[in-house]
Amino acid sequence: MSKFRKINLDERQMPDKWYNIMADMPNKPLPMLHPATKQPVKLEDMTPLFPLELLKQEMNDGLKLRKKYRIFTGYGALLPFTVL
Amino acid sequence: MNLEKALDTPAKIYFKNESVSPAGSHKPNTAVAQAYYNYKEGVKKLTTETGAGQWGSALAYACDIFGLELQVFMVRVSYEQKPYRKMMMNTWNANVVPSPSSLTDAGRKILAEHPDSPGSLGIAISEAVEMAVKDPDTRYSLGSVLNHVLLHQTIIGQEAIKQMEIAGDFPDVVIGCFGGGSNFAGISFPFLRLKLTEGKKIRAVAVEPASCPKLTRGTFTYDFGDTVGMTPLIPMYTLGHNFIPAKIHAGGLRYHGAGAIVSQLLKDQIIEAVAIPQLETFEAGVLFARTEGIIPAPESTHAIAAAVREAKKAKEEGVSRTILFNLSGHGVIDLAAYDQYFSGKLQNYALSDEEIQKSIHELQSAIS
Repeated sequence: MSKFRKINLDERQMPDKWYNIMADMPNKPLPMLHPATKQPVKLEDMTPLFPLELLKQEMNDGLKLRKKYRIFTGYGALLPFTVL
Repeated sequence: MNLEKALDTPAKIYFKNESVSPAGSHKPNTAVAQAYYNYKEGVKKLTTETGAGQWGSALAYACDIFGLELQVFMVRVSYEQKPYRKMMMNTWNANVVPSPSSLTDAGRKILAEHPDSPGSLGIAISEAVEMAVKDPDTRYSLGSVLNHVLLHQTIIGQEAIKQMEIAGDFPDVVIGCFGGGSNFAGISFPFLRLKLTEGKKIRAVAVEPASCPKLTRGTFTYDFGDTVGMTPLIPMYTLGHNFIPAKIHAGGLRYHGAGAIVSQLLKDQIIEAVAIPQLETFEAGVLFARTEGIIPAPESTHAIAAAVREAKKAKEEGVSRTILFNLSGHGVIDLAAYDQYFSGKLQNYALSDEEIQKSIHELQSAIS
């Protein structure tokens, strides 16, 4: 039986990075395809739907890492975020 | 914990509690990040889909922080089952309609063919995408499936690793319920990093409803993320984008496909998947509420049911195991589902191989 009832992290212990598993996968996921051409979608194809920063994250297959992001954590604090 | 005592198991069970966020689930982890990047790039309005409403309420909360307008298409069956979710979204200034709706061509087309359609996440995504592409100041936001969504959720597992370190323990198995992949990825990917880079022995188990079994009975192929076919083709385990899942209460798991990363990990046997019927999940949810005090979301009860199975197996085998599952959300807005369970009105849904094959066949004709 586990000894702990509850383990809280304070804000300083919370992670300041996201983890991009694509960097460590033995086989990278296949690319998304454009339904008309059946070719891999380009970032420009997706800009009517998503902002650029999210598309860069979406298409980051692990080769261009360690880009620094800054985001709100959701609870008011502004923290530097890095992709692992 | 009391759940361990109730199961009389030698296993140690831990859960990561994501139910304490303002919206009641793990969803703000990506909702806030997505709203922030849209705000930074001058977007005025977002559209989205929601099933049970956990995602819609998280994005409503996030959009309200940054002053973004939000239109939510909520799957009709959930809209009717969970009226308080709509009120939460309205409180955070979001506009919510049941999907299929008459606001879009996609919704009107489906309503013309199926006036009583219960809706699905695939239909709601079609509506939200259509509305976004028609307005240059509007973008679309998705609560699961896509790589950037899973990326944002990885803080769950990173926090869990730190918490397990404090506990002086490490899980043998990590469990998350599975709709499109966001909470499963969130809890498991940081642990899988240790498996992939350091060779740590750890199992990651995705738990899906037996009535929507894309991981355990679906096909790995390219499919659309939505019903109408407006998204790019995504490599995924899928039941076909026309598949309409049974009206189970875990609305967040009623989705035909799995995200590309999780699908590849399953194909490569780096993760496992299991499908559990609705009644077993509610039985586990009630046991959890009575032992640990938290009423879990119907989605999260799938992870609990799998943890219970693992704990029972440990007892049968007479071995101690350390089990970690993600409690992705609370079920206080889902009490009507519990009421139906207590009054014996909930049921399991059998899904035949023929039904799955029919849907996959339609898919193959649509994308060829």
